[in-house]
Order: sequence, then structure tokens, then C-alpha cells
Amino acid sequence: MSNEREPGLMDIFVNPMKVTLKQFFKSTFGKPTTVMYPLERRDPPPTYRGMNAVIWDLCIGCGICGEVCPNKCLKMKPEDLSEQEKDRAWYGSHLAKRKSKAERPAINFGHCMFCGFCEDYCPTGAMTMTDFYELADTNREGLIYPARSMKVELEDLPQLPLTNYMMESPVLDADPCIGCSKCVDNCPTNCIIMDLGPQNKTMKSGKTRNVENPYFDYTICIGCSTCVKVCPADCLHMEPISNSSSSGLIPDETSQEA
Amino acid sequence: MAEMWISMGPQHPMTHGLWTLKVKVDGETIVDADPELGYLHRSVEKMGERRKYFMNTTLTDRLCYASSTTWTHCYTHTVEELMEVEVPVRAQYIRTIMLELQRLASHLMWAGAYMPDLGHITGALYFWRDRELFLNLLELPSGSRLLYNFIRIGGVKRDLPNGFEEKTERILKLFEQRLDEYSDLFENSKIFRMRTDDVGKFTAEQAKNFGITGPNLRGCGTKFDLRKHDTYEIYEEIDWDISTREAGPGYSDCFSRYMVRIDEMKESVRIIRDCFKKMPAGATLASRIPVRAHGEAFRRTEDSRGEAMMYVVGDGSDRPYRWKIKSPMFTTMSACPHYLKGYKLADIPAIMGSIDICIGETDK
Repeated sequence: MSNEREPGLMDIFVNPMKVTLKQFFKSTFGKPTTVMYPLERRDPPPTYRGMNAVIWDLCIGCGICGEVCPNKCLKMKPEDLSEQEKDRAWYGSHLAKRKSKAERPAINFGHCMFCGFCEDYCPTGAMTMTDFYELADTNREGLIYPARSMKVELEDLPQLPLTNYMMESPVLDADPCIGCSKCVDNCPTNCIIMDLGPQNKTMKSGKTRNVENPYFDYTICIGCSTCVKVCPADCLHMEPISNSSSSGLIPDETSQEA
Repeated sequence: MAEMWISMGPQHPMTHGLWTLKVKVDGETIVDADPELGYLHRSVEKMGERRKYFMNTTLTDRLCYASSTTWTHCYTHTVEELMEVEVPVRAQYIRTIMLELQRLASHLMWAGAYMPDLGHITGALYFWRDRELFLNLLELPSGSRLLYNFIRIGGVKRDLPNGFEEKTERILKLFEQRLDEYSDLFENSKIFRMRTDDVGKFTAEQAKNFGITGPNLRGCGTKFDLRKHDTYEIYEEIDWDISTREAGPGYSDCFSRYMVRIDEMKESVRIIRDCFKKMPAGATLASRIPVRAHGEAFRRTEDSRGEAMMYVVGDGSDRPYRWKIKSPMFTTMSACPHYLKGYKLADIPAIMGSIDICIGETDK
């Protein structure tokens, strides 16, 4: 082993000098290691996580990006959509038309740590990260970017299937359901329909009638849990995908056709 | 002669990170020492209990910025046991490649930080020049230079990009030449050897009693590496050896701890090459990843600095009920009164630098 013998003149003087001279000539006459920053820029890799961009017509306003943000720097804010935008909106168009104001993500880049979870968990692929990184500003308010400032328009939209990255779906606990259909109104993918409940219910007044219950189309459910949040009777809860698809309250093939 | 306490830190060139070392000196000789922590406490464990399981990989990245992948891997490894997730084989290979690249970057970061401690600022530039190569490699699949967030519960974020293997091979070849340069520059350098030989000695017996693990224990000649002894991912299928070095029979000094890290870098190069040879095709993320967990899990992995342990308790919700992190540096630092005693005040940077302190993971 080299460290156990006594260092000689070669070790002390000649070999280190060789390395030093090699590096000296390389750094003096070779290509510079540094980049003259404002004039030229380093090429970021294709996977680079920079400022966010929202592919406008793909966003359905489900709020999953805000849900998975570890810093909670991303908030859903009401956004005025023009009639043309409502028509072009791909999947959430029904929501944009139904509600007076659609919601789109606004990001406070002063808190953002560019972890990329919003991009990874977006069910439609609307949230993307660009290679733009020059976000410095002179005041804190300037770092809050409303959704429209991150808007990107694409000519031909990629028609991706909706993916449930949250790995959970809502399951109905039929007993307390009052049939208000708030979940249907707020579902961003329109995957809920109201239909007759499994059995008749006795009201406070003593009358018996059938209360309509929500039914879920789990093939397009994205697991955003909006329905759970808006439910006034607390009759919905989230369950892992495999559990929810085996629960008894899902309409089977025949009732879906009907 | 009268004894007195000297406070080194929290703002001192010797402290990598924020901590205080109080030393009691008799003239120039150290009589006693007392390390103090708490300047960098961010309550990571408590923050993790408020976030969902998958979000915590961003926190574990920030435990140690020099070695973020190994910590994230320790966390995901524990949570995978808690949730009983099967990781695809290709994902395990990609993880191993990323872990070893991170180990190389971390050891180079340490060596670069150690050289200015010894008054050898040129050395820092040589090591950090080469660390840049590995940071560029780690950036390619993950999209970030330091905090990768690449290893996820159930696999990895994405497959390796095209041409990654060729780029890695090119850089590894270059790095092997650079390792020869280091032996010319440092191992045989009289000045470097005078600062590190026979300084900061502790025996393997002492190290085991203090709970010192990782390269610091292997520097005493003890063959103990969790990658072999409590194996995880695909380390048992890979052809590699545990690197040890000892200054004398059963004890280490600063130089043997330096050498064991250099040898470990050579082994890491071997592991990465073997991984590329044996890597199968297939999925990179498990098909079913639960979000809720019930029960408790405990795993330990070989961090760049020693034995990283994590303990997670789930109460059936989507957030951990309790999350405990055990850092290898906490025990190593706590033992410093034992191996500082008897040396001169000027040896403190050489001794404390040689154990590779990272306060981010120690103070959490």
C-alpha cells in the first residue's frame, strides 16, 4: 500500500507538480469551466424543475396540485373565463359553465421549493414545469403568480386519459345521505350521477320516501376528494382504489346502461 | 497551569454547520470537550407528522444536502415496509445507482470541506471540481442539482434518460484518473500526512461502545457495512467488497478515515458499473401504492456517514403518527470528548473534520 512506505522525492515534489501543472495548462488554455451568466446560459436538462406553467385548456380546476403541495404555496383562486375559453376547456368545461367562476391554481413562488409534486400528481397533465428560473423580484407581492400569468396555450391538446394518482376514491355511506347533489355540482370530472337510493327512508315527519344517492364512475374519478369536502351530511369518505371498487354501492354494468 | 473553557462555534470555520464545541484546555492540550447542538433544529419529525406519507420525501431530502438521496431512500424504505409495497426490480437497480452516485458526491463534498480545515484550500477545489461531475449526472434523471426528490414510495420518479449509461461510464473513467491524482496530491504529501497521521485515534472497541458507525468504524479495520450485513435493494447481487483501512492494529486515525472514504469511492464505481451490467427492463414504480398505513416499521440503511435509522408509526390515516430519525453523526459527535482528549487545540479541525459532520441530519 502506498501510504505505508516513506514518501520519497518523487512523491513529495514531482508527482504533485505534474498534477498541478496539468490542471494549470488545462484551466489556462482549455475551455472555461464557468459560464458568463447573463450573456450565456447553461442548458438545463429536459427534466429541469423551474417555474410552473398551466396548459390552460387541460386544467379542470380539481385542486389536487394544492392538495399535494408540501409547502401549501399553491392555492386555488377564482378565475374569470371567457366564453371561448369555456368552450375550449377540455374536460372541466361543464364545471366552468355551471359555476359562475372557475378555479385555477395561483402559486406563491416565494414559498415554492420546486419539488414537482404538483406536476407529478396532476390528473390531466395541465400543470407542467418549465426551464425558466429567473424569478427574482423586488417585493414579495411580485412573487405571487396568478394562474393567468402561467397560462400556456397549446394548438393540439394531448388527449390523455384521466389518471387517479391519489390512489383513493370516494365511497358513500348511504344512511346519512340527504340527496342534496352538491357533490355532483362540484365534481371536476363529472363522474357522479344521482339515482334512486337502495332503500326508502323514513323522514322526521313520518313520511317514507326514496332519497336520491350519488353513484360514482370510478373509471374517470381522479380522487380529488372535492365531493368529500363539500358534503354537508358527512356521508362520503375516501378509500383506497381496490377497496372502493369492491364496495356494494357501485352501479354494475346493467344499471349504468340503464 | 490554569485550565479554561474555549467556545468554538457556532460561528467558527471548524464547525461545518451550526454547532458549538466547548473545549477545556490546559495550555494547548485538550482536557475535556462538550459538544452543543440545537442551533439548526427545524423539528423535521414534527413537520413530517403533519404531511402525507409521500410528501415527506421533500423533507428527508433536506436532512442533509450533501447526501439527500440516501436519506430519502431510508425514509421510503421504511414506509414501504410499513405499507408492504413491492418495489419493481428495475427501480431497485436505479435506486442503487442513484445511491452510489450520491455517496460519491457526498464523500467528495466531505473531502473538499476537509482540506480547508487542514489549511489546504487548493484541495477543496480539486475535490469540488469532481463533485460537479456527479451533480451533473444526478441532475439528468431528477431535474435538480442538490435536492432530487427522485426516490418515491414504491419506486423512482422516472426511468433513467437515454444515454445515461454512456455518460456515466465516461465520467467514471475520468473519475478513476482523478483518483490517481488524489493519491499523488494528498496521500503522499508530507504536509497532509503530518496533520492527519496519529491524530484523533480511537480503537474499534471504543468505536463500538460509542456507537460510531460507517466509514469512521471501517477506518478502525472493522468489516461492518449494512449494505452487506443487513442488506437491502439489490446489494447482495452486486459484486463488491467492504473497504476497510486501519492505522495500526484495531485503531484509526484521521488518515485511515480519509483513506477508507477514498477506497469506498472506488467500490462505489464498481457497484455502479455492475448495476448497469445487470439491470433488467421493466416498470419503475409499483402498480399499487397505498396512501394509508397502520402499524409500525423500522429500517436501517448505510448512509454516507454511517447507520441511518428510521422508525415510522402509522395509525391508519394518511399521515405518520410518529416519525423518528436516528442520525449516525449524532452518536459520533457525542463521543468527541473521548477522542479529542490529549491532543492539541490546533488538532481539533483535523479530528472533527475527519468524522464528516453534517448538522442538518444531526439536529433535524
